[in-house]
Amino acid sequence: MKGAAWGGGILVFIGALIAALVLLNGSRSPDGWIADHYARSGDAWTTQKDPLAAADELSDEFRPVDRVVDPSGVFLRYPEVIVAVLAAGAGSKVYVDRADVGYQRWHKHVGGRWGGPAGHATLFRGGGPGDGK
Amino acid sequence: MSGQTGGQTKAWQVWLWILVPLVLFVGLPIGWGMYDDGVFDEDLTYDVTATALGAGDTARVQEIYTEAAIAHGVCYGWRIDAGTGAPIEEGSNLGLGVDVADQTERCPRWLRMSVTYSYMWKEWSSVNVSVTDNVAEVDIDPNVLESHGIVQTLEPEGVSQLADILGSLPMLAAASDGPGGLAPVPAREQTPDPTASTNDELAPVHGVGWYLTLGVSGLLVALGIYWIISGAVKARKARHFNA
Repeated sequence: MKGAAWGGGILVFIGALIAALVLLNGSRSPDGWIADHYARSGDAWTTQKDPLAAADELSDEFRPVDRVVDPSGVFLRYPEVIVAVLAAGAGSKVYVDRADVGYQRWHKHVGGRWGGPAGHATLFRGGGPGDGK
Repeated sequence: MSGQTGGQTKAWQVWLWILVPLVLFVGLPIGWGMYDDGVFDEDLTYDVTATALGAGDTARVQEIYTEAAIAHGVCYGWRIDAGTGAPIEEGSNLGLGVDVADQTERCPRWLRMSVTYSYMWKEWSSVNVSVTDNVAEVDIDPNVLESHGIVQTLEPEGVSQLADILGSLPMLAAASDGPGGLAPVPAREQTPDPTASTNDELAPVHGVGWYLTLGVSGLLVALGIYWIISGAVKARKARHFNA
């Protein structure tokens, strides 16, 4: 009985640890951090950093699932929210939306890459033949 | 006889408890690492069909550059060498295959981003990004892409980075410090896409690997619980038999 208790206990512990790591990894949202570090301006936050630098800072603090860079700014996808870091004068404006709301709001920029017909993305998901692994 | 059967069962169980963790914790990670390193990938060297951008992605880049060209009043172009032996891929807001540098009458002011990959041993081993332009007030340093994590020049994450690299050109131009720099391209909110399907939805965040790992962890927990319970039941039976 002792052997089974030890062996089973170790298996349960390892399984629970892996599950906890998988569930916790990347599940944090950056909205609280943004509110603490950037200045509020209407429905957005502002920073003196340009979009690439601001998005890089955010990505260092909270690793996004994916990132889209286009002429107007950088869009970061997290499990719960979508963050748009847009060029504004010499700095940036940062918008945070619930993921489904953000997808509709910034569809012109992220549509096809983060979604598509029945949730299937069609663009920019690894390029052409061979993904350079 | 029953002793021999019991011994065989025990030996089988011992092998099972050795093999299962070996497969789970040694075999699978090594196999995944080999897959991730591209050991099983097709060698694309001198495959002239192995372009870096797919047709849909190319059209999207051209759309991005067209909008930026209208906003900035300059032409934007791209030039890609996939390094696989495929022909050079180039285009601009003027069209696919049209090099802005050759169109000085239509485009007196232009910027072109060139991306050159090295492809060796079944993988993209490095990438070089450069910007050529004839716009006096713009001074772009492509190294900023690496410092902000958009591109890794060594061990590049393959052509999946390419869209972000090319997409950044108009923003880099707008952010450049030269006098009379170009204005940022405004974002477009809530813009209906007439070509989008009616069931256009956000894709789920997690892929198959995420669910597979969760499944394996759940299996481990279930096996552990089963082991504990079966051990307890056996112990109880043994006590009952001895009594």
